Amino acid sequence: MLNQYVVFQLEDELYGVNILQVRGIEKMLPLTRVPNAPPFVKGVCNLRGSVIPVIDLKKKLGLPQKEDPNAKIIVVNVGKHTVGMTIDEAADVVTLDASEVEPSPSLVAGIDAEYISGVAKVYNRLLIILDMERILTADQINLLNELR
Amino acid sequence: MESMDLKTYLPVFIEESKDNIQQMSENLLRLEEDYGDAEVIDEIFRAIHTIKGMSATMGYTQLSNLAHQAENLLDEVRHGRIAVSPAMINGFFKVIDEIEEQLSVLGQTGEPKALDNRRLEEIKAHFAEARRADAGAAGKYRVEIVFSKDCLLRPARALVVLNQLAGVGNILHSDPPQDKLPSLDNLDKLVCHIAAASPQQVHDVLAGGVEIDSYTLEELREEAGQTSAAKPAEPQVNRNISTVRVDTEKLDHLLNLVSELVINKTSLQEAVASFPSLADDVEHLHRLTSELQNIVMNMRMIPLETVFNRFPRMIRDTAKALNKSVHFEIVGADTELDRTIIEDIADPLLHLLRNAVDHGIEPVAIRTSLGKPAAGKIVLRAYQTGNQVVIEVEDDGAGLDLDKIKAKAREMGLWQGQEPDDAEAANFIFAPGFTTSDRVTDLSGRGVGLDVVKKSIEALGGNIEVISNKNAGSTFRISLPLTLAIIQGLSVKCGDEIYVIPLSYIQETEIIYPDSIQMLGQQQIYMLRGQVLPVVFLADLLGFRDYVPPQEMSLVVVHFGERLIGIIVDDLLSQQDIVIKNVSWGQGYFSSFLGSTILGNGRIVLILDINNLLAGVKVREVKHA
Amino acid sequence: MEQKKRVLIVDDAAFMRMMIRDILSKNNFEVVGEATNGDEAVAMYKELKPDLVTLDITMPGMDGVTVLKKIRQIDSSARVVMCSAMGQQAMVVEAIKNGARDFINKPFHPQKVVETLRRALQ
Repeated sequence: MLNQYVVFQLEDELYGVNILQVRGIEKMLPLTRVPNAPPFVKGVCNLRGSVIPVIDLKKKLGLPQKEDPNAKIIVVNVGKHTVGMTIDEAADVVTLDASEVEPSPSLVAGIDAEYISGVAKVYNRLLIILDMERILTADQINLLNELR
Repeated sequence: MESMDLKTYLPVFIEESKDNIQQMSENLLRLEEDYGDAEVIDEIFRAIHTIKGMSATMGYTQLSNLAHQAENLLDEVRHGRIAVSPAMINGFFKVIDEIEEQLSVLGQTGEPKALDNRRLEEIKAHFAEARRADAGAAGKYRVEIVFSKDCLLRPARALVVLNQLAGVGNILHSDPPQDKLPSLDNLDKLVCHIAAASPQQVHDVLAGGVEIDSYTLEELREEAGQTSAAKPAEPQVNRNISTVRVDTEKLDHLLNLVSELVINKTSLQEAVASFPSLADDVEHLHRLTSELQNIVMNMRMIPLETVFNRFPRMIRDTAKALNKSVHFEIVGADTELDRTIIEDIADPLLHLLRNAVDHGIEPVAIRTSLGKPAAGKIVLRAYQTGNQVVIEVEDDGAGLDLDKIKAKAREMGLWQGQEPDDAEAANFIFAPGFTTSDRVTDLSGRGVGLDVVKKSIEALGGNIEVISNKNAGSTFRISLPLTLAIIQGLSVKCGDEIYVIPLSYIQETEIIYPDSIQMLGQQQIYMLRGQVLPVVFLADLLGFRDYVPPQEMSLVVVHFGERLIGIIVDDLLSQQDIVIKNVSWGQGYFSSFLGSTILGNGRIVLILDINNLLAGVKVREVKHA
Repeated sequence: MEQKKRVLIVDDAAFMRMMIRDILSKNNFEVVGEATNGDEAVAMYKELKPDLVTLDITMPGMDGVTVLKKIRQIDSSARVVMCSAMGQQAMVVEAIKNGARDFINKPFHPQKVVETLRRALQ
């Protein structure tokens, strides 16, 4: 089975997100910050008339912080929700066969294995495939249930 | 909920379909007199189109497919490609027979039946003959193109295909029309009529075309007779129809568009100061927008009965399980609410009603010993007052045990010092984790839930309170905004940011200066007309660091439950209609805000959730100081 | 053997250019030039007169549709295929109205790309 992944860079590593979860890549948009929200919530932005939250992916993954002037926003769809995440470099796309994706070792690049759905070799580099659903729901599920 | 909704519409569906069928019959008879009566053809088209849409909405696929076939045939007549013929009229009468039969079965059983196959064959034969009846034309083709599943940007793809086809022939007509394509989000297929020298050229373009899954090409026959000068294909709304069923997604889309319009109007209103000559026009625009907004809002309103209807059965079952006798009454089920609110109000109401049966109404023995009627009474009442809808759940049961509640609340640290009055004490039951229930029943759980009920209501922009009298019963009163989508708000400045405070919270505003704020214990206060008003800086509530208040500030006095509290901001900006835009995800992180709005300049401004923001502020001591 | 068709690739992302170049050279096209922005693209078009241009819609500076217009000013019969990403329908439509022959979507399917380009060259 073939899957396609949108590939982007965070610091020196390559990360991939299943293309089915990606709605688009945007230039950095003006953000309105959200007081009293967790630090990884960078703010909300106006994406063609919809208000979407923007997550600082590096902060969320616990990676070191450097402001990148070329930062972009990758817009992902998880379930009914649309969320933006900041990434460093413009995205490319790769096609991988399921057999090329291996389960992730317990810790890659200092990121919690919970957030990783697998790793693969692309252009002789390690591609870390992120599980957007888990990244977004890890601590949200409780909050949302509470509101139900 | 889904199937229940549709059932509600069944009678309307049947009635309207019958009307349409009736009209269709009459018009077919007229058409038999004059094959060329374009107006009559349009009327028939509208009727069958309406039936198609309604039955599709109701989920009667077979019926809507049948109507669709009839509509297609008629459409070709309207575009002058085939002429009316006896076979066609016969076919249509058969269609009417079939629909009538379906309607009568639906009326009796509530379920559709399978279509009559023999009749379908007859219809098919009639329709085929109707199409053949017009042989003669050469060089005109009807092409139907289905794009491949993975085809992205289909409208753009369709445009490319049309361009390519235009290279080998003359595009006579396309559906969707070429100029509509850019504004479409998606499409299933493209139908076009093309005049070409040979079909092979058309095949060359389409065969193996990029992202074309399949296509059909058939020759179009030249029209015989004068049947119909192709009329614009806009089916108008039939005057005889009193209601039209509309897809809720379309309503949402419409509301979004109106919202955008309101935003634009607001920014125009701001700009008009520099162009006084436009003032009248903008004022006119304002009136039109408001009216449009009202109409759209009204279209979104549905009666509460769609939710209330499910409760009598639940009350009956619950009472029975608990061996209680309950008389249940519903008042004001025709009160209307925005449908987004209605969808979310069912669960909280269910909870309150269960509680009323379980904890409110006493066992029969106790009731008779108190001289009360053996059967308890629960009233579910809805009414509109001003911009709000109130829903009450009232029982004539035991009422709340206020002493027990006060004791428990003190234990939980909800109060200290002076004892709260009864009204205040009753509302402690909404505190998280609060319960006084000695026993645990499987119906209402462990008393958990009233805090959840309160949260759900507040998430809808409403509030809930309880009024209770010992042995006389309790009333839970929920107030909800009529609609969620647009509120009146005051935008305020705080540091470099702008926020909106919903007008419904605001009592008054004042200009104040830093030296008029005093300290009383730990609490900042302001003397408002001789009364002590606890005040708090918005910057503090929002956790701003390095905030320096300006020399002249504004005080916004807001209602917080029964109290008044002053919120200090830098400046008041403007009062305006605010279109609430929900954040697409992560509401849990936005507890300080009700939502957001987009200003005319595209900037997002957050709307403060006064209740949640102030919930963390300790101001009780001041009230009694 | 038929003469190889000459293609100019315009895209700001090196990765994308590489991908298209790979696909094209494996399928009997000749990549005669690669431009990384609009100005370069226009200059190279004048100089190289390629049979076909693949043109990225979103680029820093001059965007794809503007570049398309400039190229069509130079050569009204220029064959241009746009490269678009998800959600760019409005831009794609704009480009088609302005004379783009066709468009290809990222992520690229090699076969679709080749098919589209062949048809655009017909």
